[in-house]
Amino acid sequence: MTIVEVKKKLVNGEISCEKLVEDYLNRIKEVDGGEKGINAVITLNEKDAREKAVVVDKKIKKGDTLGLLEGVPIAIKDIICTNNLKTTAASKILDNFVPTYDATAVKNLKKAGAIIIAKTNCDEFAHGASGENSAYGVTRNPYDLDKVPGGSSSGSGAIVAYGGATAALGTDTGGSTRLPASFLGLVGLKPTYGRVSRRGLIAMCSSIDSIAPITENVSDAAILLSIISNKDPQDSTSSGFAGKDFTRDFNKGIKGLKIAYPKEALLEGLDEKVKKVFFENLEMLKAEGAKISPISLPLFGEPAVAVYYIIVPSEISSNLARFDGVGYGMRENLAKDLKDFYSKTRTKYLGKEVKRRIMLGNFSLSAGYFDAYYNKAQKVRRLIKEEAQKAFEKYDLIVTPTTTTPPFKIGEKADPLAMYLVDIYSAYANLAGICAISVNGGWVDNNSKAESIFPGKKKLPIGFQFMAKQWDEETLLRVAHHFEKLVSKNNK
Amino acid sequence: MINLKEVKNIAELSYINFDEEEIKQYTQELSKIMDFFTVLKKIDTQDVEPLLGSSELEDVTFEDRPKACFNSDSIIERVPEKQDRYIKTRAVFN
Repeated sequence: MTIVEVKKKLVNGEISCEKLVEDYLNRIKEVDGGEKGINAVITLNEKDAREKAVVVDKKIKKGDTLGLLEGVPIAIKDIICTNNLKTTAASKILDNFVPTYDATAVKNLKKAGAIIIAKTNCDEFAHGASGENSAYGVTRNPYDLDKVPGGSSSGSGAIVAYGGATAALGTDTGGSTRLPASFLGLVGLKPTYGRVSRRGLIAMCSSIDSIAPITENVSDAAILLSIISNKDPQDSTSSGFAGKDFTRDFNKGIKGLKIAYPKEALLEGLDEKVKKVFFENLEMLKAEGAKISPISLPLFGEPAVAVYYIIVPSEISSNLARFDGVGYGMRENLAKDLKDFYSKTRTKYLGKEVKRRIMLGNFSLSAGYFDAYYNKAQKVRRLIKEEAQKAFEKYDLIVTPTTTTPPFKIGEKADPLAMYLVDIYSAYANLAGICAISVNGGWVDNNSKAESIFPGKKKLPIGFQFMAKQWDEETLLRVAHHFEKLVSKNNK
Repeated sequence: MINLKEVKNIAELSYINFDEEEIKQYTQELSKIMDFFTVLKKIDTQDVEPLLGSSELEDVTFEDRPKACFNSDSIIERVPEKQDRYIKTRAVFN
């Protein structure tokens, strides 16, 4: 059920909020736990969600004015702080961390009446592209339990896919909502950097982190975005405009729109099935009157990934220095002095990939390597931004597949570099500071014998990515909405 | 190429302990990743200024006025180990 559908049912009295929340909780309990469970949830906000539901029902009965999300159960990635509700960032070092405040985005959701139903699993500190790097265990893809759901917002994606929440907040630093959206047949929207306040988001890479919605459809993403964006004095990089209606031009069509696809995205590693869906999707857009052209973006692909994996670990090494066991989180007491205490705490409670990135970052920033790596990457980052700007002078949108392959097997990408390359189509948008969205482009046959929680469904989703210029979510969402309608019509 | 000694040094600066086996593994993995970064070498960046952030905002300042802040009691209440209103940790010097 989408946000719009849930709201309608509540307002029409078709279902009480209490029953609605109970249904969602039951769904979570049915599929999330156990050995082959989806494992999308780290903390279930059961008691609070039930209590809120009672309040919503009273409001509806009394005929009170309702918020845009009144009574709608939303899941929050566990890297976003929630007041008095455990927030682990999927790391053992925050296993006992209970924030004293809500992230601004969460505050905005609550103000609109949303019910926080669960805190969701993710790659530890959002360091990953598959959901496998969580200290709380891997999240499984509901369509094929042996495959990954995509990361790092793995749980936020999976819970929406299996119907444990109406929508969810994830984060997107290099593709972390678009990858799960692609692997789960959902919508993942990465807003322009600065549109959504980062206050209360546990930082990975402050200069590109974005809080980002994962939803069933594009309308829901537009609704959530309008609610969570604002200019927040407590995040000096935020300059969002609150309450903007992104759905206003949804029926305008796409005739005459100029859409480009980078030739660099059609590289060797691109899976044939994904390629086929991509070109079918392009034909579909063409038939609606869009003008499609190939372009060259030489920095798209490997150069962007290289820049990304220098800049991101560099910021990580500094942002994660705060996890030292002193003021909050877990600590290792058997230490001889303060330095030993820091090291023992971090060694015991940080995961493998987190350590790898801290090391990589400290390396790139160290005196002998600073110019060759960090500085070089920041220079290429400027070139990426300029390259994208130039492309958007001529084209309204740039499109690519979201990922090179359909969902892959759990454990398949044991080599860290292979995992980094999963971001090959997605990291570019973050570095360029633009907005992007992944929408389902179609489904392909799945030959695996693995189980699915959807009986009879033997297909895997393929994502289609749109990118638009900075602050142009309006065009991005309008076209994505149109596209989504075409795809669902074709798949019927 | 990164060598074992450098990795050990970086580990110490990162406040992370590794055993010999882990150091070997991280050396291998990091070397491979750093090798991949050489794709940037062939990109001409002469006279290009580094770009440090995605925001184009400049000089964002707070209004210089006192206002309500965190409730420090609730924070102190949650620290792992404390004495009165002080956080307890290990001594800097042994």
